[in-house]
Amino acid sequence: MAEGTVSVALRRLLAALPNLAGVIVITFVLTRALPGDPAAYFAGGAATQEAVNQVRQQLGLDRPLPEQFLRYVAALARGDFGTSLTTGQPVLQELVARLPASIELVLLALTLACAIALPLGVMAATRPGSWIDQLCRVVTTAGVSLPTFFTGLVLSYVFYFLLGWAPAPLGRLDPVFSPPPQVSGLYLIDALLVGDLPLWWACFKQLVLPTVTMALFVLAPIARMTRASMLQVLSSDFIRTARASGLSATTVRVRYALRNALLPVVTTLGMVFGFMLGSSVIIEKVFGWPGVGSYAIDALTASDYAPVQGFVLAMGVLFVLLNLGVDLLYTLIDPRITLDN
Amino acid sequence: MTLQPPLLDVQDFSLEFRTRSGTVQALQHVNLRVGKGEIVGLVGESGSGKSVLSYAMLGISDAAAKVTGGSAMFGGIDLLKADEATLLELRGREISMIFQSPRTALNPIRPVGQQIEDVLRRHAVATRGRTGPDAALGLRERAIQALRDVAIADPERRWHAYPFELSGGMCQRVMIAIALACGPGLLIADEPTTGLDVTTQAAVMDLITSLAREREMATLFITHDLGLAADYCDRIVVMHAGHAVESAPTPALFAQPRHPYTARLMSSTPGATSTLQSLLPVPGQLPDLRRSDLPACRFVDRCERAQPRCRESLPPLPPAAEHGVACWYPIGAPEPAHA
Amino acid sequence: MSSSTWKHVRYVLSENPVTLVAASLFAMFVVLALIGPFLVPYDPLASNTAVALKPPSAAHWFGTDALGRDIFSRTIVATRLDLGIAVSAVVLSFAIGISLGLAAGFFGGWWDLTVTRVSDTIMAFPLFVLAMGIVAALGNTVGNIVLATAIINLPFYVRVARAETNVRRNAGFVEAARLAGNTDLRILSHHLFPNILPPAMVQVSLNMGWAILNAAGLSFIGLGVRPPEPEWGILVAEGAQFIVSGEWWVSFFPGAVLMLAVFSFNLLGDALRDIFDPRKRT
Repeated sequence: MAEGTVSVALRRLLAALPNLAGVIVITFVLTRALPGDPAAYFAGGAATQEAVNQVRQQLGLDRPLPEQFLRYVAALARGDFGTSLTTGQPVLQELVARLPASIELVLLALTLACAIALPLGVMAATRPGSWIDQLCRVVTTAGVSLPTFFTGLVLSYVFYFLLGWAPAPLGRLDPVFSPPPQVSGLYLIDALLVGDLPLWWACFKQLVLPTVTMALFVLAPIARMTRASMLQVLSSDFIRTARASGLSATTVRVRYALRNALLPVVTTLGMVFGFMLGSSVIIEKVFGWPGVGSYAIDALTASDYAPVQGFVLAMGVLFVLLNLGVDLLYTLIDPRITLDN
Repeated sequence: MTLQPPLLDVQDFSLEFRTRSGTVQALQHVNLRVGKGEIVGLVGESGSGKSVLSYAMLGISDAAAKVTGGSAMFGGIDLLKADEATLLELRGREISMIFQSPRTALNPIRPVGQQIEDVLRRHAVATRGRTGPDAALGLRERAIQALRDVAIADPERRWHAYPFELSGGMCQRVMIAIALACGPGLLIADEPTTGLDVTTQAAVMDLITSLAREREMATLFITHDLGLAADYCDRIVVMHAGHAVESAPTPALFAQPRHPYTARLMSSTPGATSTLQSLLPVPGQLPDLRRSDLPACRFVDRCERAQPRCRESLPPLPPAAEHGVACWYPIGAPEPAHA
Repeated sequence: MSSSTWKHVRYVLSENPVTLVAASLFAMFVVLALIGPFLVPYDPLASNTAVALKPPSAAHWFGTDALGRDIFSRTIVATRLDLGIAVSAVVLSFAIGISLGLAAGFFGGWWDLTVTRVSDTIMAFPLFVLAMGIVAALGNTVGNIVLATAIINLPFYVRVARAETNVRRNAGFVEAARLAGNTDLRILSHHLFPNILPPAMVQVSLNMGWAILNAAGLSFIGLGVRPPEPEWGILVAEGAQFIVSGEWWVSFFPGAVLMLAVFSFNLLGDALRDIFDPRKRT
């Protein structure tokens, strides 16, 4: 590791703080500082004027804005994200309970997408003009045009209704089974931990369609970046030197070209996470997946706004942290990152 | 005088590039010889084909390049007809190449010592007969020795350095170390000093020539700088627009250049006592090599000795001659009758 | 356009016939948006329970939905609303984003700091989620869908304008113009803005596809456009429940048309980029 890596990491951490602050400010603005009466929002559609006034006082919505902001931040620090009108439960509690479902989906989709997009991009770059190259270009152009809700529905129709291979898109687990004891919240891992293979298989089957739908969506940017990056690296000077030194084609391609080409791909991961978190909302709706996205949608339909704002805040914070993670990862793997750069 | 067969014998080498805007006749009937332990300078303007020649011999040309004739004999193998497997064995081991812009020519995210070891490992040098950690130790020692051979101080520590941490001159030394690690018989140096400052240039050239003499290694030194070639090469081959036009031992070339282009090149190269007024440029420009109606001698439009015959045909550069020239009316021969 | 630009355009079009296809598709969608409602065979809102959930046939090319409405007519009519939302959002985004970006690049200092901070904060959210939050907060109307889509697209235009302006500012372009006696406003409008247009236009066409997807996505989850108003996202949502029972056409056709629209906008964007800035080609 180059000297100063720790300092660079700290710098990145500090750079993430303004973004976190921005997220909090925006959600505050969305919650409180809007045209119309926020109290009416939080009291719900069916509330009487008295109930609305009560809510206004309770939530401190009659106080001056700066004071409201401080109260808001203080409440967040306490873990108070508000309470859901429909379920009566604290929002944070429900978000935390449902987060593992969303995370399992996102992680699996990212793995699948990389497993396809990385080799596709690499092969398209090493065999320009071949069918693989054409396929890559089609995937890249078509992929960004796909509406996730559409692909999800089409896949459900084909693989569930027509072919009967996939189970009904009704959530995380067939009601016949009960979920594994909670360790990580990720069913695949938890089921493996207790060694219950039929349960693992049942969980896996439910995961296939939503994962493929999400993976299809993010295949395009990853494949595009991999191909472009690999093409650029392959035409660079040091590859010519490597070839002139007689290094085998595999060494040149993998140890020299690929490692260098993957660096810019890591930087696109941040953007990819953003796409996935956004599309998870829709995918959870299509497949009845009990994650944070469907929680927010259900609340939205019921005009229950506290969960929605809590969801937006949570997603914002999660995204900032994920980006920070990607930044730190990049700092670790690129030896050229030093204090001076 | 016993004549040793040349280590590298290029004969009648022709090459073309197929591009979207036409076919470029990049090299035509090039003859070139490098003897064992000899330092030959390949001099010419940009676009004269000097780099293309070496890339084609090593088999690392652009995909659009196509050899259309000739041979390049090296150790009994015709490089131009050899298959990739054969070339892979030769590259880095029997024939090595170093490039310009050394910092970008090295892998930016790999320690330089590791890059030397990659080549050593590939050609199983220093690991033959050893296995496991013993082999690894052999590689490490050999790599450090390679760094020491190119006069890099504190080689044990420098092994771990990345190219961006080293100066341009140091990077070039590392590249030389990589090239020489397996003890090749021929080194091709493609403009190794371009981009370096003058003092570093001299240091790098001194290093290359001393290593070449020490190991009796043949060197093909490609450059556009005639002055530099004059200082370090035993023999110089002048190239113009894809043709090899003159070949002579350095003192002979400078005493009596015979090709009009060589003479022009010399009068445009500054020496220690030149003034701006005394420098004469070579008139005109390189011809567009995509044209299908190129004259036989490509210098004909810029030459004051040109005759109609020069457009029709061109004598080949005699491969075995001490001082050969590819011209009907070389300087020093009877003056052509003016039409 | 100069003759060399025309030549370049012709070259790009002939290089890749797909571009020609994209351009024609684009033209088709624009036409449908403008006069579609006058061309359709059925009233998109007229229900006829007798023919509910019928598969595609000669009478109903795309079949009928649960209320017996003709899906073909509904899909075609939806073009106007979807394109309308996307165009309004992009125009709004463009106008505000370019102005802010120009100001940030030109004046630098406090302007630059604020605009960059706002832009970065918007980008700190997964953009679809932010759009959800904005619509939820402002109210469930079509206008707010447009506003939300415009807001989440701002950073792209800010970035383009700011980058181009910075390049010219650093190259001394602005200083030279000032010394020649131009006022700031004149420099901005006459010198900087026209140079920003090419990359900005590329951004617009690439953005349009994304804006349509966004609007449809928001409608799919119940925000913005309310039934029975036909809009592609709503049409797909209406058919979602029937997928598992086999009536695939209710969701499929609106979804396929949506995909085609986004696809042609994206292809067009790629072609525009090839015309104006071939270096960025991947």
